[in-house]
Amino acid sequence: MPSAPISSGHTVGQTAPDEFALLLSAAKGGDEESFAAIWRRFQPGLLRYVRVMAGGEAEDLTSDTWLQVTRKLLEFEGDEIAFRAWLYTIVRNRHIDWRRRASRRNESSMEFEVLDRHAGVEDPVAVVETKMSTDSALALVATLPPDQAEAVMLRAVAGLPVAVAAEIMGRPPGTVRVLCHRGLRRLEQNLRAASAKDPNQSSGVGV
Amino acid sequence: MHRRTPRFETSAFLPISRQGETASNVVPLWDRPVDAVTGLLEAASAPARPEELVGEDSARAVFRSIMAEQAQASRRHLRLVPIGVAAGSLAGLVVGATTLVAASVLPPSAAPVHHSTHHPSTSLSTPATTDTTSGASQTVSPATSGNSSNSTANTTQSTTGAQIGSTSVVSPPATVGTGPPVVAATIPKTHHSKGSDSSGSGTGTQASGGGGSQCTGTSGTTPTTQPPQFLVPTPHVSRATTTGSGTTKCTSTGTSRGGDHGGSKGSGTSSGGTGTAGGTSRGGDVGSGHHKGTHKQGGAGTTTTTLETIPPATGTAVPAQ
Repeated sequence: MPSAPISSGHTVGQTAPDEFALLLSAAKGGDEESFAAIWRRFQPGLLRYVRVMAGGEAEDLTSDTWLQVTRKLLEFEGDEIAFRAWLYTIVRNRHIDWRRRASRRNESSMEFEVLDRHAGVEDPVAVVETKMSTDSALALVATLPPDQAEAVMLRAVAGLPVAVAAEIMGRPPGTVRVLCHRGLRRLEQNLRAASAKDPNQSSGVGV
Repeated sequence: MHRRTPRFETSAFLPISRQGETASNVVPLWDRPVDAVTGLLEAASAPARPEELVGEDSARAVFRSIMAEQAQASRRHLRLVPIGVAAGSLAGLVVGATTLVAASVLPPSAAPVHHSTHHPSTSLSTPATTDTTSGASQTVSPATSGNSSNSTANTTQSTTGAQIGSTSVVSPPATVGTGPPVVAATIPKTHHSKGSDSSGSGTGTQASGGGGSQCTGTSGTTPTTQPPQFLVPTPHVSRATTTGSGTTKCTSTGTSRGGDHGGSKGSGTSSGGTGTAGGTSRGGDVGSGHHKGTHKQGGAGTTTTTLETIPPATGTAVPAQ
């Protein structure tokens, strides 16, 4: 039995199954509004995932992903989880291609780009301590090793079950569990270290 | 220092734990920063912000263009289907009409030997005669059509020097019959012949006059002095006769298929000395079939080869001549 997605209570773009089925059916029939509704529900989570993984290329990668989704929309069959998995699989593959091209061009490491872009400050933990915005939270997640960050994003932000996340990542479900766990623990350690610096704000982050 | 992770439900920390997540899978629970991690996850999965939806217009535009493109491709496909069907029908019509016209315009058969038996009610005779004589190539494909018939014949002959004589190949094409199939092959004396016969096919064999001659086919051995008689499921009778002198080596293979709808296609090659002659004729009243023959001829003399397809009227065995 696939475990439920890790979530902080709400997952970006979550819709009722029946509602999604209706939207998908209408979008397949050419209804632009339905497609826009689907896009609005899934785009934020997708964008955040790509921002953590690819940083500055997030906009281009998500646009490319939606282009592909639109082209193949008529062929898609499945529920919302399947659609979400399809979406993240596409964007992940685009991201891998982008990384390959970037490595050929000897560009700087993606992780540093992500960090610089989203934190905007030298210490992302400091940002988290002062104001837990979405961007700062993503910046903190981006400090994790890539596989841990991806596991956390797929499970906590995209709201995917372990089995689906594992399929997307091409890893065994147990590995994904471990990666997610380690990522969260590292986040917790970073936050603890920050609270040790300033005991007055120890647990006030994220609220 | 090793601290054990307490294993209990995470409902105090993560709402999703209602679905069964345990603490060991999700978040370390032993310290207060767990609240911070929960807050971090909440912030990371917060509802969409306006700046994250700025690309909606471009996404809509892409959706519109792709959907229009796909709809256009679909319409184009739907348009092409009847066009393809119409084109195919037209092509078939043209071919049929051309065949009919060609068959009716050509003069009647000048075949030296032609035997054809038809079913009394539905038979249609469409003889196709190929007559090749000493370097000349002549193709006669008369068609006598009632309902539908077609007949084509092609002959190629190359004669040089030593070959003297003529070779005629007559392959009356399809006749329509309903009776049991009978194939008769006639071989004059001193000839060995093998005729081929497959399901629903009739085979004409080849004979040559004159000195020693031999005819071979692909199946069915025909005695040299006895008219062979095959009973096969075909309404056709194929007969081959070759007369002449000299040494002739003949090879004849052929099949003729058909039930009520029959056809015959014959081809022959005759070579004598340095010459070769061949012919192909095909005709069908309603159906199709083919009959092939290869003849080799050597020495001087005149050789006439006749291949016939004769459907029996009653379906009984028809002895060869």
